[in-house]
Amino acid sequence: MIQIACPYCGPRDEAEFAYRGDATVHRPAEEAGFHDYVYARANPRGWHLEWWHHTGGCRAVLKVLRHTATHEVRAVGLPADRPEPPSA
Amino acid sequence: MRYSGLRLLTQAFAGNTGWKPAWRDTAPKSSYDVVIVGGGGHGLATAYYLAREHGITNVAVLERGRIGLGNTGRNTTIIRSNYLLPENHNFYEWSLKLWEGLEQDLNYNAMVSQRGVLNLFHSDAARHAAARRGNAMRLDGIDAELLDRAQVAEFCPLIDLDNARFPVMGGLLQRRGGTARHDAVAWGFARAADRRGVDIIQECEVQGIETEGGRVTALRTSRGRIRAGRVGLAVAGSTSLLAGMAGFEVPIESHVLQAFVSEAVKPLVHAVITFGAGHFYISQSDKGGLVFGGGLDGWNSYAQRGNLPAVEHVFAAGVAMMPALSRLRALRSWGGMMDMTPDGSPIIGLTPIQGLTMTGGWCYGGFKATPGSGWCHAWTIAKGEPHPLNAAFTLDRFRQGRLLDERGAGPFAWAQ
Amino acid sequence: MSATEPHPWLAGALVPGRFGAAAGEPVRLGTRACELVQVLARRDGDAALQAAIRAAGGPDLPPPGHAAQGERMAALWTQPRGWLIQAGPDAGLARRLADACGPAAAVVEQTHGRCVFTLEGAHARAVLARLCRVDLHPRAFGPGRVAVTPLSEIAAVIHQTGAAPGFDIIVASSYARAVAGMLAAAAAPIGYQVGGDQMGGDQMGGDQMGGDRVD
Ligand SMILES: Cc1cc2nc3c(=O)[nH]c(=O)nc-3n(C[C@H](O)[C@H](O)[C@H](O)COP(=O)(O)OP(=O)(O)OC[C@H]3O[C@@H](n4cnc5c(N)ncnc54)[C@H](O)[C@@H]3O)c2cc1C
Ligand SMILES: [Zn+2]
Repeated sequence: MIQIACPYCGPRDEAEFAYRGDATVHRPAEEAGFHDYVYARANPRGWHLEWWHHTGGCRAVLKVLRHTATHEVRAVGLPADRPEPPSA
Repeated sequence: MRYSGLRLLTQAFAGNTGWKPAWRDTAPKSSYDVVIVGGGGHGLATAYYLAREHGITNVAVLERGRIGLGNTGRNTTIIRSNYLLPENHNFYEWSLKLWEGLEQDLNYNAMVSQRGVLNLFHSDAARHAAARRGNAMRLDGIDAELLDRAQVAEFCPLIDLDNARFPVMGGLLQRRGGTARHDAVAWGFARAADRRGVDIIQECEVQGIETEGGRVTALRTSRGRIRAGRVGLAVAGSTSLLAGMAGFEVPIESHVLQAFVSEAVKPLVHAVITFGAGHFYISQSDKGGLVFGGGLDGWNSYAQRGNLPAVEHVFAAGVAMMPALSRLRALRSWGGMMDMTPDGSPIIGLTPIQGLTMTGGWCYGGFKATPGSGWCHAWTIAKGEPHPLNAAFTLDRFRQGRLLDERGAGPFAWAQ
Repeated sequence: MSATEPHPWLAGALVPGRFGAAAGEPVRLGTRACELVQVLARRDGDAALQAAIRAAGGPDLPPPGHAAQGERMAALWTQPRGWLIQAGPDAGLARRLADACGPAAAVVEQTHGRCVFTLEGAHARAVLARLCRVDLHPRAFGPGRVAVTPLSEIAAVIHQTGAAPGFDIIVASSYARAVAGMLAAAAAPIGYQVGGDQMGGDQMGGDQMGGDRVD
């Protein structure tokens, strides 16, 4: 079970959240960037910055740094936060 | 060694001492005409059809672990061709036809069982969608039957037709669909490819892909450098990583899908049944275990294991469809790594690197594609261009807006 | 409909009596009649919302995970910059708050939109633990705390109202019947009492809302 420490609600199980994928995607200003915006997603085996929506709780959209092989959650923040992957 | 009834009999009297390994466990040579990365069903089938259809036998299949332990050995073995879009159903129908002759072809018992695949529906809208899909299939000569409630009840009495939330209104049946034995598919293709000279190299992880002037030249592996002018990727959930080694991106996310098997019971579910109102499908193995699964856990993962919320969801949907299941104990659960594409359809064909081809993006449905994928991938490698059957499954279709969106639900519909 | 009328969705769902396991101390299960108003601060509206709540006899709006009791009403945090205001029967509260807030906040009447269950007794925690995932142990939770979390699959606000312990469980009215059944099923192995001497619900609503049960 993945546990996400919601900054508002405290630690909650993954079942309370809706996963919204890659949090590094940005809406481009130019039409040229739209292919990547719609289809290209980071898919690392390792640290992944991703959106989790606390739909079953406070409804906040959270930015989570999670490892895709161990499932370890390293950081949970608000959309403006910029958690850095551990350098090791 | 050919397998036959007579061989079984003579071996029985010889104390089963005369069997030979089904394939040679070989060390890699320094160079091949073609190297296939990934010893799952798709990679092994690619190698087999390269040898059989195109006479290309200086071929190696490199597998990081042991063959068939990826999704090939983890899936729920459903085979079918009941897709709406012509590009999809024609490809899967070709694959189903290959399944139908596979055991004779490979001289291997893959336990292909055309026991029927029934998709239930629970609303008028879903009935229309099923009828449309069935008609689209029949227009291309593929079998499909629309069952009403009474026919569903007769076909599988265990289904609860009167579930308060999801009453069953009928189902779309493809009688030629069914199941096959997953491990046997890997072993059968491996043995048949080996007999035609293909080297199957296990415990050989590809760690780098070398290119020169946009052409693939060699692979760096845990067992040394291997030169090859043509390389085919068939690595399922690891497609993004291998593409990354070659310097291009694929529109794929790796996700975990779980499956389950119950304790063995007497024959109970004689076909493959899918629930139309939630993520659930079920069949019964010949050993008697009920084999079932549902949807993705829902988040990117390379771990081959899932978590309890998906388990709970699958069991709840299962009991809603067949209340009798609540009396059974689950015996095992496991997970596999799915390479999910935005439109839910696969990618078989050329890549931006010359000489490098791929079959991937199989999402949760690539087992049924195994022979067809290998066949088309082999063609693409041999001819340097896709066969008409896989011409639509290009990597750049997303850039061109030529999506193969079965459900018409837009990108990443499976994630909604 | 005023807050004192019974929830029509619950007709026949919770009947007075003692049910489930017969031995030991039962939990008490009931409903609470009260006014409920959802308030959400709009951009830059936080101060005006706070002023309007205070002027209406409400408390300082509590931080995430907490409830606060004012003179005439309680405020339960439910989401970032959003609260559920709970008061005794007081028709027109939503209108008055909306007028006082103006564009500073979205104010939505929820009195019939939600249903408040009460669950009390030494074993109340054990009953809730069967249905929800949050840690209700006194080390992690306690009187005056609020958790927004699904109860089984149903969205709920859990508010610990007393140390006994006692909980208010607030759900959408359309799910009230289902939740009544869920609570009853979860309480059956322990035994539960509806109404009667050990009254849990409606009779305690209204005026007693502001007592020491909410801190
Ligand atoms: C639980 C579950 C249920 C499923 N149910 C069905 C179903 O009912 N019907 C259906 O049609 N499909 C189903 N699928 C999907 C199906 O299993 C897959 O699409 C299909 O098996 C993919 O075959 P493959 O050969 O490409 O992958 P795999 O069998 O996974 O083979 C890929 C191989 O590549 C190897 N590899 C990866 N990286 C490297 C590297 N760097 N170097 C060397 N080797 C490498 C891996 O070790 C692996 O053996 C299911 C999948 C799962 C997980
Ligand atoms: Zn939260």
